[in-house]
Amino acid sequence: MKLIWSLQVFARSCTVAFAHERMMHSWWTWAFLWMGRLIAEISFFALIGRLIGNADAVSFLLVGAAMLAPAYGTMFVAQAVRGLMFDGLVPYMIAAPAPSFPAALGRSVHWCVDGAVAGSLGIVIGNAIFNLGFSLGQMAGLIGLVVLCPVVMVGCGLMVGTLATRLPAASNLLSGVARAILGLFCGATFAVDYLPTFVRPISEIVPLTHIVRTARAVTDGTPVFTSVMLSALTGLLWVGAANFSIRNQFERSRRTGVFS
Amino acid sequence: MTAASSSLRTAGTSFNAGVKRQWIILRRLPDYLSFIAMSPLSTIMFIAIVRSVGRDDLGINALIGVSIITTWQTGLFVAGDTLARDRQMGVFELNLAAPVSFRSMILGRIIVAATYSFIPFFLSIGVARLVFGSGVVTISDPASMGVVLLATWFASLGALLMMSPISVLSGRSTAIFNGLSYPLFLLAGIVVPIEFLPGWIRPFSSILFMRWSAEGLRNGAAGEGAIARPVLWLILSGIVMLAIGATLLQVVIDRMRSTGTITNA
Repeated sequence: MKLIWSLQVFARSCTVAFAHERMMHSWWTWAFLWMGRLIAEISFFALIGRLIGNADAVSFLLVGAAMLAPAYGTMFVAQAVRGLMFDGLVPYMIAAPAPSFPAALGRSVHWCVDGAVAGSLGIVIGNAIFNLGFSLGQMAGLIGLVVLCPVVMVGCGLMVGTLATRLPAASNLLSGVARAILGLFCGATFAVDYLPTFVRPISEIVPLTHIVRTARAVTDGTPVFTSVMLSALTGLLWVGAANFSIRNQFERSRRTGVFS
Repeated sequence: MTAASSSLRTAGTSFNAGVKRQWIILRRLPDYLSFIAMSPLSTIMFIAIVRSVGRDDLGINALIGVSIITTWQTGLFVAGDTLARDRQMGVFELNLAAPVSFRSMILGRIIVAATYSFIPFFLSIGVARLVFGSGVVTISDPASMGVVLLATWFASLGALLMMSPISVLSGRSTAIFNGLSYPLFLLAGIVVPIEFLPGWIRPFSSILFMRWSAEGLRNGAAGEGAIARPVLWLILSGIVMLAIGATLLQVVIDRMRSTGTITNA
């Protein structure tokens, strides 16, 4: 019963998220400016591969940038939190008897969907433009990973969101730095082995690193089981941490009457 | 006092008020540090992309590219978001109704935004030297680079003023400005020179000031001395964009004042 209730809350939260997107974008700003921008970013990195001068670099950067697009989407939860706080909706969420975690989870789902759509289109278009020669099976595998990426990364995004509740005036700053960290540490733009040894453990706890590693295995035709399992495991750990943090924060606010 | 000197004085007062207001907003809101905070991480990422595959020679391309990216994004975000925020908070209507030169006030705000946007540029160069050593950031002709940088500042001022009517007019300015990043970076060849783009796209690249900025900065860094053409194009495009921006802004303001409609005017 509680599960059905949580799913209903999640579905309604998703409805609000998509309504927010319709307010931000008309169909043409979404299709041409927003999608155009995300796909251009993926192509921009693939073109750096062409400057480097080998086909492997083009494929490496295109696939990495395609995985980054939905992962970046999950970091926008910080902006969603700021929006909720500035609109004065947080006290209602605290006062409502609905479970807090599914409400928070659905609120930025539109950015995750946008990232997954852009990442998938980036792979299809990039494969055609740059003559990468991915097979249909490889394309399906890569698109599957692009869709899986926001699912395993959503916990990380929500943790950034909980930080944003403490610093709402710095929500763009938090989200921006989180995105830059993902681009730098997760092997999407260059191999994790190039990072200093002491930084690599940080990469290993981020699900994106394992998603990117799985994507490399798909393009290389090597086994993917271990990296898929690790991405799911690290993703679950982050979701667990986010769930604990959000519930704790809401319960404290209900008890003290202060949201902080 | 003649009408001309009175109007000049009003313009000066409005300009100063615009500078002051923008500076106060920048100091108080940590969100405007976003791209500045991101620039060290982005710089390391872009240079690592080329160095990790043994192409140290492309380090300067990556550095110049990421510097232009963070500079443009900072300028667009700061100028666009502060004006959009005024609109959301109802300050914009008061500014428009006040007996001041609205255009001078906007110019004052944009000059601060354009100048502020160059912080990540210098930060990127400093971080690149610190992390990767001076070898990757060999600047053979700093004076030439300085001249190109000044011309870039002027052109970006024109570009930001040209964008300002969008912030003033449209409730979806954030969505529009978001779209004015990577498609332009790709087209302007700021990391990958335009010779790598299909031939039919290149004429479009030439109208973008970022293309000339990247080319001039790369030539300046290499000490090739061929900066006259890029600098000329930057100044010319800056003048054209300033003229277009000032004219469009006046048209928008006149329309708003005459029709009394601001939101979705």
